[in-house]
Amino acid sequence: MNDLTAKLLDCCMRAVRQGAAFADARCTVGQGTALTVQDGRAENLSSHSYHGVGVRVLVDGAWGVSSCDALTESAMERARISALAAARAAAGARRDAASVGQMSPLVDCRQPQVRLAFDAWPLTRKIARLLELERAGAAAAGGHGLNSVLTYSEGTRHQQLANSAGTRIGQCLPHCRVAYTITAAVDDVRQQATEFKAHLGGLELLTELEPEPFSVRAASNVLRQCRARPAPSGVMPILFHPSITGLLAHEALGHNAEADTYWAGQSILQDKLGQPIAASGVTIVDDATVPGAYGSFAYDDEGVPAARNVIVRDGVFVGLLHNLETAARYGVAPNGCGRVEDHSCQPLARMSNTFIAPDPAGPTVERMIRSIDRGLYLAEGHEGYVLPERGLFVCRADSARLIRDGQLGDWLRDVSVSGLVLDALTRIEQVGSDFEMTMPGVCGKLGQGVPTDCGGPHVVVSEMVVGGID
Amino acid sequence: MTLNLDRPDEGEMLAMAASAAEQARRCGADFADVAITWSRHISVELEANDVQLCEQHETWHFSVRAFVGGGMGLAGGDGPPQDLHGTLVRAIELARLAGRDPDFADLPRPNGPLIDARLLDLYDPLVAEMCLPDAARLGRHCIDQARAIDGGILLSGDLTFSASRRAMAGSTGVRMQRAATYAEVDLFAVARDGDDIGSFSDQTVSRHMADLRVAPLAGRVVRLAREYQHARPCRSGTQTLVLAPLASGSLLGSLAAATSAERLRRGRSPLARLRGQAVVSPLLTLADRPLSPRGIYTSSCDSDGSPRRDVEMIQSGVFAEPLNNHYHARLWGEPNNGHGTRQGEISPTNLQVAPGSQTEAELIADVGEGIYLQAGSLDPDPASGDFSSALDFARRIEKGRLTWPINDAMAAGNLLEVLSRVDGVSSDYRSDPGLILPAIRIRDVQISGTQ
Repeated sequence: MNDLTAKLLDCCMRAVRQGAAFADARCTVGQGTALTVQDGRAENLSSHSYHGVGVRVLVDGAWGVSSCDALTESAMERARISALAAARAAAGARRDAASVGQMSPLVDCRQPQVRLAFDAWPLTRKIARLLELERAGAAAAGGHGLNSVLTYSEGTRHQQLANSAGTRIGQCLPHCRVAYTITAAVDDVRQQATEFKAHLGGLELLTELEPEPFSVRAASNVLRQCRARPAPSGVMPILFHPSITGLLAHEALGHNAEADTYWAGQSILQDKLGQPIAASGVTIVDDATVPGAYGSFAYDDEGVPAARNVIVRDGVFVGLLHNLETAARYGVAPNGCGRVEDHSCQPLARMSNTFIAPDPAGPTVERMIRSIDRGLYLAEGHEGYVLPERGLFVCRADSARLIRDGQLGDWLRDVSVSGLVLDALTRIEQVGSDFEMTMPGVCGKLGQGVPTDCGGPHVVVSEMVVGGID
Repeated sequence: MTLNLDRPDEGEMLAMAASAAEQARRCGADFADVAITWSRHISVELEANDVQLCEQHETWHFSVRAFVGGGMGLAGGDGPPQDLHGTLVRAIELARLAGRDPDFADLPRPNGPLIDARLLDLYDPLVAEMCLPDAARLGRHCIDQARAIDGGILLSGDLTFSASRRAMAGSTGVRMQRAATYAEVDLFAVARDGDDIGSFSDQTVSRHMADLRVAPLAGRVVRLAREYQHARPCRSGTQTLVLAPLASGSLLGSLAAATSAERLRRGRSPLARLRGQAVVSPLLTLADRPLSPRGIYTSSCDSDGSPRRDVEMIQSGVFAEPLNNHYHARLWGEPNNGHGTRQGEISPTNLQVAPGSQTEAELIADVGEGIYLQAGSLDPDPASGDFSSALDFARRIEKGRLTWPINDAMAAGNLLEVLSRVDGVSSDYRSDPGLILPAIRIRDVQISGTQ
């Protein structure tokens, strides 16, 4: 264990001697490079470095957090003194005392699992590769292409954490992302399509990326969307592609199972632990241990080992996602979901990789299509959001198809579906046997963004509202 | 040259930035500029009727933009700018690797004095010197006030007070320094009776403590959270939609952003090739006013150092003038209106929509049957303008009156088509500092409901 975590531990113990019931300190050292290739030219090449220390203390049942953009001992001391003052200010206005449960100290250091280091290729070679991918997409759009943009970013974050229970954790998280967006117009119908790849790992994401399943695919999608019909509106059965199933698991269920949201009275699942909330056969999991997945990590940002947490088992709501504080409130063991965006933030209960588990005996996608008389197949996920307290969620698809008499029909554009969480989960009437988790993204909550992924099998929801204009 | 890290001074920061910009030019950059920002912020988080925590942070940020042959490299970091030389060398390396841009000529040169910072009035010592115990007491006061109105309410939210100092200098002689403060209170109320749940969130933002409207905010979110209980489904079909200011901002803000010269040039805007044409209802006039005193997005110059000026992008429904920056103004042979960002893009500032002649209540009173969207984003696609969005906080209008809240409903359409059907703009409006957002009424919007 390095000298820095020893200093962080010392900082925590000093805070305890000054009246803190618990303290943790985390520091981040990181750097990243980003490149944009647009319409055949490499532009906006940038690099960014950052470092800093954050200290959190619990005094008289109230939390105080402070941070500085420096890693010196004086910066740590300044952050500690400031955090203690902040906690005392909070204690003067707080009614209900927060606490942290008993913890066994952990000491560990994790190195990254990368197959190809970021510096294995010089920047010139990366630019050449990105230009090749971008130009392939633009060429595939032919004369219909208006704008073609590829953005690439790589970065490594070294995190060190210590707390007053004696935990000292170091881990390194390398992330790599490539996104391609193409805008095209056919007969005055203008559309945009995006492909996004990201992983917890190294440069292999870029070196193994081929134009056909990436930029050429986006070009093909945008041309198809330009020629597609507007979506119908109304209520109908929906077949979800795994990417949309993932949005359903993340937005509709996952946010409602975050224990701080639940504690604050902002979850539609309030008081439903132990009760059936989804159709039987539906199992929903949040798993930070999936190798290489975008939301994975070895330890959460409070030093708790990453875990596979079952939230819904066979339709029954069985578990919440906890940070240290909520685990103490509910009298359970923390389950590794306390995450921060950076050293300056307080840990929130967050998801990692969230998915609906496939049913090994479930139907194939072809059989699901045949079972629908009139409905929609949402073929590619885009984004979503949820109002957890009211249980209202929205999923937006990049592309969709009509289903008529058990067969796939016309392509549709601009399709979003909305639903009420408890209705939608109980209306899942088929869970497929396939599985895919390819929706890496950054999930936002209270101003903090953390990497997540989501997925699942194809599923059929018997009825949802489609927002269309036909 | 070193900075006093305990008492950051814009003058010292500017001198350091100017020296680094000149050094970058000597090291091989055709043009360069350097920005240094310091900020301190305190915040109080409220959760479930209690003060959850207090925070205090101090941050530094610095960045160097270097241009070689029109290619741009941007290097920067968080933390005090202790190695600006290494950063500028990195920026130049990146600029050399970027593709040449034959359309790039230069960075802006000084063009007369910038507007006097005192006229913009962006700094309030009361915000800068706000202390955590006082902020925590204000947070507690919000909770007590909400509970006094309605003892069954659950209130969460946060209060933030920040002060920042920024300096920017370019190798062409451009110089900018600024001190500003910012205060924001966000409150979120939940009313719950079993599974019957209503909620509402809103915020007040300002540059000055005197402009912060905390007391009305707490009362408003509590009242509206209760009003959004007992939600019911609504029917599908085309209906009149009245967008309150918290909802009209998503469509009108998207229209303002679509006037970016960069997006127009790239074909990424629904307004591409429509300049000079009637694009929306003649009742709509949209202006961007970056010099509004105390405005949330107010500043004297953009990130290139170009002086900002007011732009009326949409005049009585006609797309009159795009937002631009130094690069696009030169490319199109037009005056620069100063809306550039450090990444070379173009961004709106304070959106002001010309108010209409009827009050919001009168707009609603004229609707026999329709929907009132109080808050929520309709979020159009930036390239096509198409949207398909949930009506998050909406109520039914019947015979000119607001009735029950609706749930599980969506609206769909196209930004320009829908805004062409605006038949009313309210005379009363929401006026967060610098912004003017009235309500708008739109005929024949496609609504999907479960009834």
